Amino acid sequence: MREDGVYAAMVRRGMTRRTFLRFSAAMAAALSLPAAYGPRIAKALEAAPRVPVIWIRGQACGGNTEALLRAANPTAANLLLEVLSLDYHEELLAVAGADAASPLAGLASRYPNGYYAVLEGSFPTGAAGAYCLIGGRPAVDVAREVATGALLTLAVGSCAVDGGAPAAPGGITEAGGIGKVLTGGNFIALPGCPANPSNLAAVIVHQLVAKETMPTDLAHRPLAFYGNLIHNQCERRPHFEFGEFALEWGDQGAQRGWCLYKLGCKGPETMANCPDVRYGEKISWNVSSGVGCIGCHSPSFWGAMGPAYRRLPSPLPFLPNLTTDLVGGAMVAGIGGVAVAHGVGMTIRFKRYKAQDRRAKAKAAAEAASATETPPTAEPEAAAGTETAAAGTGER
Amino acid sequence: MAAIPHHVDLNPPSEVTGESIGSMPIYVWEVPVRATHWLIVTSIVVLGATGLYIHAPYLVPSKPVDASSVMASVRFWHEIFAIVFSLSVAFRFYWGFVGNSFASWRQIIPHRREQFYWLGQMAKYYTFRRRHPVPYTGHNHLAGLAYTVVSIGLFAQVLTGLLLFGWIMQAGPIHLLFGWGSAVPGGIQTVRLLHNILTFLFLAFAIHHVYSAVLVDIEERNGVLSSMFSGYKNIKIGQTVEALGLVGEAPEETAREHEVDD
Ligand code: SF4
Repeated sequence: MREDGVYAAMVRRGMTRRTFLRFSAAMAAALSLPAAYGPRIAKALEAAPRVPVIWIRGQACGGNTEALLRAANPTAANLLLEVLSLDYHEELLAVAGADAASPLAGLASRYPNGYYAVLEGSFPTGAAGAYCLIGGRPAVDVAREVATGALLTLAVGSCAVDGGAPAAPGGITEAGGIGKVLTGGNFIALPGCPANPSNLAAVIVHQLVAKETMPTDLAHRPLAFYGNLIHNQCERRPHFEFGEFALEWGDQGAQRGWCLYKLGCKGPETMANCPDVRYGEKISWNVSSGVGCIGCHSPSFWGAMGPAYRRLPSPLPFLPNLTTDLVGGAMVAGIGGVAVAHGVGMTIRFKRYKAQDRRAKAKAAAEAASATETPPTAEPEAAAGTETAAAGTGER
Repeated sequence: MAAIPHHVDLNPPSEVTGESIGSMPIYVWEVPVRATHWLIVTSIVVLGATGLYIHAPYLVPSKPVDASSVMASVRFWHEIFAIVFSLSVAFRFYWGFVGNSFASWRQIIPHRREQFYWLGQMAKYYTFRRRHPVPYTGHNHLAGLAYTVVSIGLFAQVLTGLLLFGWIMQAGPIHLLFGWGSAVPGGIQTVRLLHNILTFLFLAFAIHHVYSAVLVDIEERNGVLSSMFSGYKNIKIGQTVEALGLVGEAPEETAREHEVDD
């Protein structure tokens, strides 16, 4: 056991061995590992050092911090005071003024063994970064400085990952996520609105225990958390398969806990472990609470997953209230209408040609009769059937 | 064919001046063409009905039900017929290279000047500016153009379907090959939107397709409707654009086409 380590800090704060083991088991679960890994994680954590964390917040609502403060297993206290050594976080700092900013000055000399950087919120680059300042400097510059020197950078929350709401269509601050801060790919993305603090803790525990970064997908999201569909883990899934859907908010189906698919749930489109880890001291997540998933763990979800209460976006982005049913239905009805109108036109035209033919034929017959006094030989029926063929011969 | 054959007008003036020439049944649609056609028709009907249910479940019980897994069954049949549909489309595509000249991609995809000329003539017919449809043994080139567009739609529907399947199945061979739905611009929602819109495209096409077939059948009396069952069309020998050598690669090929009429 090391004196400056995670376990020592926990013991100092009066944590029992039992609680510590429970914490380790929770981490194993969050990492999608079998329960047998709990003791191994505990063993590794005993020897692990605490990590200094610098938490930089750009344009954001603070939801990720809120979620962090309501974390369970580990609780916020566990996480902030024992696993991490959260040296800088604007909302949670006790000090103010120049003292508050001191951890940001001379990061390299202050943390010779390195530190982790956590970025929350988006970073605006419009107006030379003036939309969001930290201690009078553009937030994007501060974040770049911190993230470049870090052992590992975590982009926590959708805003930090891809710009989130401030970067959604219509935004004016030219905000972006970690892509505006770091050029390389050495970071872990934990999108979500908010990201789940259990996942954040698990990333760090994994880093401490396994001494390597978690396997991620192409969008830098750890596969352990973002590798399965919400829909495949949802507690309402049996109602989905049984065709039992809530049709309106608060209707009979909703009261029975039926599936929220028809109310626009994006669970079938979203990769996340919300049904497993849940939020608010592990009490609930939105589908449990009776609102569909809005796909907040998906890339650029403000643009890509809207509208929140409809299954699909409008097929024409500039007319957002259209639905595919409306457009498609109109298209099918239109083609049907054209077919009917065309059919009527063709019938009229057919009759006109027939009448024309009859007149011409009568005329020809009259001429023939006057010329040779013999009746025409061709049967009208047969002639009608072969008129197509006849012409080509004549012309060829 | 060097020049567009303006000198040949396949527009019979009237039954008064035309001579009566007999027609005979010609074997046009081979078994694989007819089989894939009807398999595709069946699967489009089933896939359309089940797909629209999956899109917006229209059967919702008013009270809890026991053991009637509607959505599960609908999805099961959607997937079964998706396999039938994909294989039929794939086989018809293959047959476009090995089948007879009427099934060949050469007659379906307009790519030669003559073909565009006759395509324009057919468009004139549909817009009331030409009395008779251009007499074809196989597909007319306007229809060919429509099938080219619809075929792109068919492939897109198979691809988006596989992407959605690879998305739901987070493991396995389909996921390995088609697990990149999230890499499509706009994410998986774009894929679903396309899959949904294409459904309506097929419904619209079905209306047009049946209407035109009935129209041409009445107008030409060549039995195009029954030919999709029997394979035989009633053709006035020597009077079709194919027989006159007005389409196709070379006269030899035109000659070869006519060896199939037995
Ligand atoms: S509530 Fe949403 S995630 Fe859950 S089963 Fe229904 S559609 Fe899927």
